Amino acid sequence: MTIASPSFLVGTLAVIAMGVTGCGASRGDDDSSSVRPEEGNGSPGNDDGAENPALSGENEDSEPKGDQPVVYTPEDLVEAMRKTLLKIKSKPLAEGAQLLQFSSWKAKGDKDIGVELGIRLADQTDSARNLFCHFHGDGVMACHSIQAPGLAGNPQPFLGESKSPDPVDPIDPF
Amino acid sequence: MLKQLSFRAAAGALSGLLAVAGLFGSGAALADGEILTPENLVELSAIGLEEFRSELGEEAYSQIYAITTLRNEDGDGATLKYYYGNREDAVYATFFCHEHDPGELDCHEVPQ
Repeated sequence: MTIASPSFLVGTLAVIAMGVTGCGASRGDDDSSSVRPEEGNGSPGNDDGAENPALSGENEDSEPKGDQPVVYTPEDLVEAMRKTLLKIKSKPLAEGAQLLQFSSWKAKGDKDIGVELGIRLADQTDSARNLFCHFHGDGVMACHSIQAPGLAGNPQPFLGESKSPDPVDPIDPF
Repeated sequence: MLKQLSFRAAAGALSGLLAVAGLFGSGAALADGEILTPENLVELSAIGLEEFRSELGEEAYSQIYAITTLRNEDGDGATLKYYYGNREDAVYATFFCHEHDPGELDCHEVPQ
């Protein structure tokens, strides 16, 4: 899995988006198989995707499959949060770390859903992880970590209570 | 102008997931020292989404393109934001949810 672990601003959180199954997890199919526990370690600040060959191929599947353009609904945004949460559960956060924030938005020309998890580390610093989710042709929403060099250190306007959010910027990197 | 909204995420409505997290039992309060879990935040997002839909209508609802949920430091409240409309306009509805009565989170819109 790829992880963008920016040390961002107001230091509130860290983020990850990943696959959770939960109710409404898929459009037609059980999505639990799309949650791959080996993806990501859940501990903020580590970019394991860059070194783990088993994870490096995730983004090969970065484009939605299927004949029809996917139109993501607001419920899908929440579903992407659920999926992200499931992935995190497969690999607990580092000791003392707290997951404080979820952000979910339509990304990549609305072809994907970007998800960001904000994590406060035990030392009170903040970290973030980013993933994206999309429906495959089989109706299953799968979430992958992001492997985009430009995302490293990407400011995350969504994060931080005192920062006025700007939902435009975080979408562009996708 | 955004219509002023408020809603209450009662223990009953949240119990499905909050009970799982052990926060809200059957009508129970958020126990001392317990905080909102990530699961709670996600489900609170879902509840707020439905409230947004019922209050602002289908058109605004269909234009939602981003959702953020941030837990407060104490862990007994959260801020929900629903972005909708044209992205360039960055219009969003904000709700602040906080436990006032045992087992219930009162959510009120925060004017943009």
